[in-house]
Amino acid sequence: MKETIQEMCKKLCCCEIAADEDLIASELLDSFKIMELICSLEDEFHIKFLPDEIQNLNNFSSVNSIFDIVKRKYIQVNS
Amino acid sequence: MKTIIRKEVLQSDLTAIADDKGKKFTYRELRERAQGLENFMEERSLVFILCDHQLETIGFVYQVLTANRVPLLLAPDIGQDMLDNLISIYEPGYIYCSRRHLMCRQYAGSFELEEHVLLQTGGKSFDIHPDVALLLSTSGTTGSAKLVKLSYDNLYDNSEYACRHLGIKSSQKGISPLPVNYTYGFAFCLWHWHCGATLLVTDKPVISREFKDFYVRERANNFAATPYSWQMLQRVRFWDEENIPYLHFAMSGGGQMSEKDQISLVALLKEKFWIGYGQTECTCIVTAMNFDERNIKTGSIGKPFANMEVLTDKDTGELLIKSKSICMGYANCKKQLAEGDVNHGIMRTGDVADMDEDGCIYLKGRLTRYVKVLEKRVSLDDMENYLNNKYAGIEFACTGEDNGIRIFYTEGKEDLKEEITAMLDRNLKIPGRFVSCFFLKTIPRYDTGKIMYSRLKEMNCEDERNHSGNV
Repeated sequence: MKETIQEMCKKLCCCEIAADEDLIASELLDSFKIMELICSLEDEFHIKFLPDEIQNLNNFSSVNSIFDIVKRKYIQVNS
Repeated sequence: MKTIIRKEVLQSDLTAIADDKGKKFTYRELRERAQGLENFMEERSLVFILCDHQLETIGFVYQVLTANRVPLLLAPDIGQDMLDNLISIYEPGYIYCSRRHLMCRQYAGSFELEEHVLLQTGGKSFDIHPDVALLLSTSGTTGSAKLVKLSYDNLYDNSEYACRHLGIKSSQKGISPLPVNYTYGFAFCLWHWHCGATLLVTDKPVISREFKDFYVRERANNFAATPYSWQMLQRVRFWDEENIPYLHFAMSGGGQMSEKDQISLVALLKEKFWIGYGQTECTCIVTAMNFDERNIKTGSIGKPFANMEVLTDKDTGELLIKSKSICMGYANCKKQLAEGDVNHGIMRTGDVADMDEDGCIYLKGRLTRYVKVLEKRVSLDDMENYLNNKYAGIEFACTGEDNGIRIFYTEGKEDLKEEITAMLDRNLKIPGRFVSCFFLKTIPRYDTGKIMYSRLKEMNCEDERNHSGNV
């Protein structure tokens, strides 16, 4: 799962990225790209983010944080 | 001294700009700073401004304009080669950018501001027509050297009628995520300044909690965004009882909104929701309308501002606009900045339209070769030139529609498709999912050598799609 997320982020940012790199502070992800990433994650992992989860951008600031929330939601959906 | 805002506002103590960190500028403070600029910046200097969404930068745009120096507004993340190209063509006297985006290290920083620098290039001043107030790029993405020249009268006239049409008042506050180098974003700022209203500024993403908190805390009244941003806002349920009661108007412009989105937004925001239409050459918005829930004219771009006369060409159906807001013309080089008005208040929009019995306008198509990607205008001709320059020896032809560019090329390398889409994403900020690349042995041409775009459009290339184009 983490590799898939890292690959998605890499494609979206058009560059190599580290798992702990802050993609928002470094301006690699803007609103448009965050929404694009959210749609891709929902399609790929069959999950649905809530409005509050989207508005909390810390959830999408790095590969690690994205992995954390996706894993949590994936477990919720599949448990 | 030529002005773009009402005279009574210029020296007032009303708040002109306020940010989410508690900083603000009054109109009087901005006027004093503009006088400071007048003291050291040669008259009619050309100033490149790389526009991030910071209070300091937006205040600087205001100062340069009101000091009658001439700004060219550029994206803060403009590619280095594009910026260098514009610098070599127009030889600006000054370049303003954030320290983070400092791209012109060869120039000694002449003024260190808080988070920005104003660089003096040493370029000699040259003749810029006295009516020219502002320069905007025709195609923000390809870095084209073709600029739209807007006059002081254009800016004054458009904002005066926008304030009347939309009911903007000095007591109101407006906020928008639109970049200021984008005509629609600039116009939103100007409308508020024009009548002494307050512009709220934050660089937080529009979908973030921080953006909404600032919006609610300040009780913002006016809002503008593109259809794609509106989709995002609906997804995060931005509009609720916390912010709707204070709303005066919320506009979608810069691209065509889907019927579904328009219906749901009118149901939610009622008559506070407006659809706007316009072009850089017309000083942004020329028609706007809020629709009654019982009579939503989906697909309509509304009625023109009172200062606009809208006509359609009898033969082609092209929308023609007559107004004092029509730009002076274009500049492709420094010399053309000295030339006066060539449009004389008439503009062919390139859009095909018709009108219903109530005077509401409907767009039916486009005659010109440009498309919109995420509401940014992309000239297909500029893109073709860009690719031809970037990949010498390969021939390119571009076609497409909004949110779907097709690139045809004459080189058999399979990985070139990926290279092109990644390069366009990186350099021109056009996401790869909106681009499809196709290899052809030859680009079809007429005897004259002109590309047969109609033939390319007919080609069934669906099987070869490089990326899906779903938005």
